[in-house]
Amino acid sequence: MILGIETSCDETSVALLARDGSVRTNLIASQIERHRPFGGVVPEIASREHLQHLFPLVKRAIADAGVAWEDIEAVAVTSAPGLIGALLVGVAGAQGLAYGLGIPLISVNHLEGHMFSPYLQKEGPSIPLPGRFLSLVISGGHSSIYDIWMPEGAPLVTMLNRTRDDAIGETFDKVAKFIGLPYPGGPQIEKRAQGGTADAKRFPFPLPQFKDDSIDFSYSGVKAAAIRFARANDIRVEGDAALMSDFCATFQDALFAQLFNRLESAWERLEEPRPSEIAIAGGVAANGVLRERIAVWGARRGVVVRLPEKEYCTDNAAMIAFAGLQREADATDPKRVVARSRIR
Amino acid sequence: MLILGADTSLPLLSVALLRDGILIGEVALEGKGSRNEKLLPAIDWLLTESGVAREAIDLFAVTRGPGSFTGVRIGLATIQGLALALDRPLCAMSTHEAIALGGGHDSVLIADDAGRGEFYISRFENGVETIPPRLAASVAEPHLTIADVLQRTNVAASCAKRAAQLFAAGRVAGYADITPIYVRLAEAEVKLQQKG
Repeated sequence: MILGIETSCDETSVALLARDGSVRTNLIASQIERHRPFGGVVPEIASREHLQHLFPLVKRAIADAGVAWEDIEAVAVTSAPGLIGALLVGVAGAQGLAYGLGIPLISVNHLEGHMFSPYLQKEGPSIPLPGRFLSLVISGGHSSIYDIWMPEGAPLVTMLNRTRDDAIGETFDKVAKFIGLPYPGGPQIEKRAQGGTADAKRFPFPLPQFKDDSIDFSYSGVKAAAIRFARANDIRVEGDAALMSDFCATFQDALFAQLFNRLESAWERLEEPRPSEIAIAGGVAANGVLRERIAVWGARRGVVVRLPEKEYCTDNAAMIAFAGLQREADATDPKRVVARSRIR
Repeated sequence: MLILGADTSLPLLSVALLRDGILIGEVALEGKGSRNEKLLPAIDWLLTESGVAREAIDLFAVTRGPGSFTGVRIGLATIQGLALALDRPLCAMSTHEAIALGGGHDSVLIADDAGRGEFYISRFENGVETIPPRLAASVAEPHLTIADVLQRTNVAASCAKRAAQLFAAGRVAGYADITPIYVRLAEAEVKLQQKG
């Protein structure tokens, strides 16, 4: 049994995961309401909240799962990236627990938690991990494609691209905010796009290409164009609904056009044998249009598409414990854990 | 009766072991950087070199500020983890109480530099806290300065001694609150209040 702890941002989460990858319990204390008056996450308040919630959650997780302390073989904790003060609460708590129990501690990269999360199931053991898979992490903070090999021992993760400016989810949110839609903007744009028709002639969004052969994402150009079009055509939440829908459909199309353009380039560059699966993670993975298109993309190439369960899309400790299970070979002495706000 | 005391709220991080009221070991280190990288190594060194198994600890004593916000949280999180994993009680007290009552100052005004020209102060009279930690713009009366205390006394040892007194008096259960004593609100909250 692995005890997972996650405190990198504004959710305190504790989970217990069996060795077969089945989630025994996954508790999350969200601080969204606490930060709402400030219009964003306040690091000092997040850190204070984490300390108040962490140990009550640990005790409840143990009680809920009916697990004995002796059954816990390792503690997995998010040590980077995130808010440093927030990370330190989880890391220090995990250090004390692991040292007290005399068991190893596994430092987990929060992003790896998301990468493996599509393999967790609501009930029962995790889906077996393939020998190699692609991971697409698309959220408000990240846009990257990773190539993940799963040899014996620890996973080998290679980042194939990243965003040079805005993340895809961030672009959804910023444009939504500009046209008067509430946060988070992604689901709002998606809802309005449903009734609309994409019109690339009317709204010609750019598909950025770099002079070198880089396949990085860049969403700032799409964002700037969206704001320009919205201003020129007076697209506002209280304005013409049909125009709004067409705009949203075209904008969403442009975001995904770039996503699939890069994914295709990344795919072409991979040496054989290519990955047999693609796992999608991050908040944008909840988008229905994306889900349909990635299914088509996978079917055409004979690639299995893995999408995360809703409860594992947001920050949670089950995915941290699961990533920790993959990284067990890297477990350390609980005394020696370093929390970092960024990944070097 | 073995007590492990820890303080991570002050610029010198400290750990101490007390056996039946007698100090048997102590460590103090500059707390610069992330204190979590020093606290467990210090505890482990102290236990190992004292030949004490972690399971032999009967009670954990820890300070909860005022002091470094992050430091206090690291101390409280680590010690709570240890106490929970080893199923031992925890005695959490104000840093000032540890220094005053664990340090043999039954009637004293404690003052600590809180930055921005302010002070964290507490008052104790005849072994009782009469003014809990609060902010003060100035300290005129004779007082004990924490910066001076740190150069003479291991604060974790004082914390462990105070816990021993409380244990003897059957009062440990009243020291289970692990909420840090921040005294100050988070900066963002101050700004929000000023706006509202």
